[in-house]
Amino acid sequence: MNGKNCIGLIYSNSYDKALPQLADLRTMGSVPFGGRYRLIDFPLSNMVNAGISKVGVATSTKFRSLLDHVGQGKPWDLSRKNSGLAFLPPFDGHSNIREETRIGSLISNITYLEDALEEYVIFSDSNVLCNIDLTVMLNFHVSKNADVTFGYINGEYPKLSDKLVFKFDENDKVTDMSLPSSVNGNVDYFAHICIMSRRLMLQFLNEAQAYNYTSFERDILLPKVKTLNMYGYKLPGFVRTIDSIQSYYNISMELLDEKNRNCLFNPERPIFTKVHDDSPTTYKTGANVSNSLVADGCIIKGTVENCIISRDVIIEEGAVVKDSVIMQGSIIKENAELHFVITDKDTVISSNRKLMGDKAYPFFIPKGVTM
Amino acid sequence: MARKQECIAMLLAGGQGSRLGVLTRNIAKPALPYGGKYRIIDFPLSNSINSGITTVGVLTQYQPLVLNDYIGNGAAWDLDREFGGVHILSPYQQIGESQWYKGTANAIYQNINFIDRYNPEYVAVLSGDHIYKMNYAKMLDFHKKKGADCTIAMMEVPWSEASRFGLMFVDDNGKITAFEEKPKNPKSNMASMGVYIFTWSKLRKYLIEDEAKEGSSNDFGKDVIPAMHENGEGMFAYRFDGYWKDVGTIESLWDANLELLTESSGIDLNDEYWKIYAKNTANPPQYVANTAELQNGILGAGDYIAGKVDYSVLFSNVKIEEGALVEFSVVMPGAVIKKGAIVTHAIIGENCVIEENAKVGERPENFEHGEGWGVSVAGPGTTIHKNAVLTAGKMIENNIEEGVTI
Repeated sequence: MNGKNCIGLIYSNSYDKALPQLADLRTMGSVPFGGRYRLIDFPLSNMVNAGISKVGVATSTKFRSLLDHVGQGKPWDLSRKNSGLAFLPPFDGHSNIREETRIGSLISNITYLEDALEEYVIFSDSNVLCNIDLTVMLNFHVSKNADVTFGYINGEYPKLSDKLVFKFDENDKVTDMSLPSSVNGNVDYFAHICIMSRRLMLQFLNEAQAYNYTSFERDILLPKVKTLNMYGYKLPGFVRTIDSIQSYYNISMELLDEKNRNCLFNPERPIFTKVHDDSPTTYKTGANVSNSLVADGCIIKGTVENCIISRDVIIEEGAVVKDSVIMQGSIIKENAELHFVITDKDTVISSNRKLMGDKAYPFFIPKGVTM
Repeated sequence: MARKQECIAMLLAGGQGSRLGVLTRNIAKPALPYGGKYRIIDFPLSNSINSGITTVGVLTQYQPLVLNDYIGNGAAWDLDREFGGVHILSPYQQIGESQWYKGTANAIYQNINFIDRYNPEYVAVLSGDHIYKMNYAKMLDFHKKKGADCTIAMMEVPWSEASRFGLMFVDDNGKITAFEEKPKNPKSNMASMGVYIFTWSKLRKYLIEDEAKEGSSNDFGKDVIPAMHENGEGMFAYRFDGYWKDVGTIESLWDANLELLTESSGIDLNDEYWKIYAKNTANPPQYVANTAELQNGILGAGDYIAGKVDYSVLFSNVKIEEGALVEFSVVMPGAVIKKGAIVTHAIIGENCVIEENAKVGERPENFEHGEGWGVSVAGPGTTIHKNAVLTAGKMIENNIEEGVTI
């Protein structure tokens, strides 16, 4: 089966506080990534590529840039007469649960789910990066006759609150769940992509409202491990969870590995994003670029090594940029030198400035700052 | 009274561009790729929307498939509209007769009904195959200020090239006093750019008269404009002095692309205030590998560069493998240049594969055969197999087998 009988639901403010540098002025979903994307492009494209034509984007705060980015959903082919993209802003209804939480945001838009006709809901947070075929997960869910299917990652436990850790039996059925504060070594943890029936999700949300629950994981899912049919689906390929500026940096750098790029930018399942109508990128005399990902609209005259360069960036003569993530519209002036730096959008690094972070602690320059 | 639009544009996009050989075998000239991302028709379409013209009829005839698909509903140029927007106008069947567009004027004549639906005061008639950035709104202001019936955009061209153009003589007031169509010995170097604004009621009348005229070739330059001039209609020339290019030949297409790499090209594609829109595909950023040597290049999205690139324009999803060399060349979308291949002074068509150690094109300074040097062209979809050679000035539409020299 494909996503026709399925509604997509994305929460855009997922773990904003884990990434204060980039998600202080915007939602996690609108954090720039990979030169030309925003994080929400990945769950949105995954859903659309699975044939889902109805997607709700729930948000609670700081959503101007998100609204600007997703608009009516045209780049994802979600600007539809029927279904399509619905923006679900906080809505002061009858909920007594704070809307800044994921659950509060969903409760305040409960009508959207009630009015839908689709049988299933695929939920995704926006700090998880992957390009996966969700129809496989959906078929898994249906064939297991599961109540809830959790997409999980086997890896180092992220530094995030409310991350479920699972134990499965040989049939991938969840036998135990916990919410540890920290764990050593690799574990199977919830990637915050899950499938359940719409009916069950409504039931959960009503329960949360009735009992004033604030955490999906702790208050709703955890107590039901014995009573519900819950299964785990290991998300295949390149799957990463962003839990800090450090992991944001590391995951960005992982894109320089062709294997990861082929996984994340699989041409059969393109990642769609807002169109900017930039011109192609120009490399001038003296440009010296290696092992870097460069988006369109850039003008490169200097040296670039091991970098992610976003749209409309200018790197002037003699500038040297290494091991850095340079975001949209930034200008690195003549003979400036950057090592292990993340610049947010529209920063200007003046001539001859030298900025150096460390691999383990990249130097961050906030949006619009001129140095 | 129904809604009306002050000015609509009719874009002539039926041209074959026969001198472009294999490159226009399956696509019309306006659909030719240009500048690492664009197709030529993006320029008149973007000019229209940037000038505030929101109704554009695109007249297609020759190989319209790619063009139709590319233009779609016009959303890429913001021309998907409830009232107006972009419309593809192909020749159609009518009671009693059905005919192809016999000439540029006949193409507009056959679509009088389309134009009348918008009840416009003015109609801009544009060529779909010219590269230029022009504000038609300014030209329209000029047209109105002069009280003209027809305004023709003109620009100064080098005297040596003047004989290729329709030339004009203009008085101090900007009024056109005489025309000369591609004369052997030009007496003017003010050339028509193929951009016209007409007062629709006047043009409508002349189109109907021209259609009824025996022996007319139904062409704007040859028939309609001279007829209007003879009858003393108000014909004015609007002077334009920006970048304008008609890429009629392989050499000029190659040149127009590589010209973008020079600072003084005269056309700025990075202009925030006059964006050239194109249909975007969902490609990731380009990747430049450790082994790449990349200078003086314009690169599209999704490219993978591991070889040496110098003075070249590469469209989207091009792959240059390690040890390959691409210089002074235009590489169209999806082409792959494999290890050890050398591509110089060439145009590589869409989805071509240049295999290991194959050689395409020659530097003019290395050309040993005297006369006859030219840009080499690998037609769309062709494969040049290992160790094969495509020599200077040659054009292919079929594969070259291993080791063969053409």
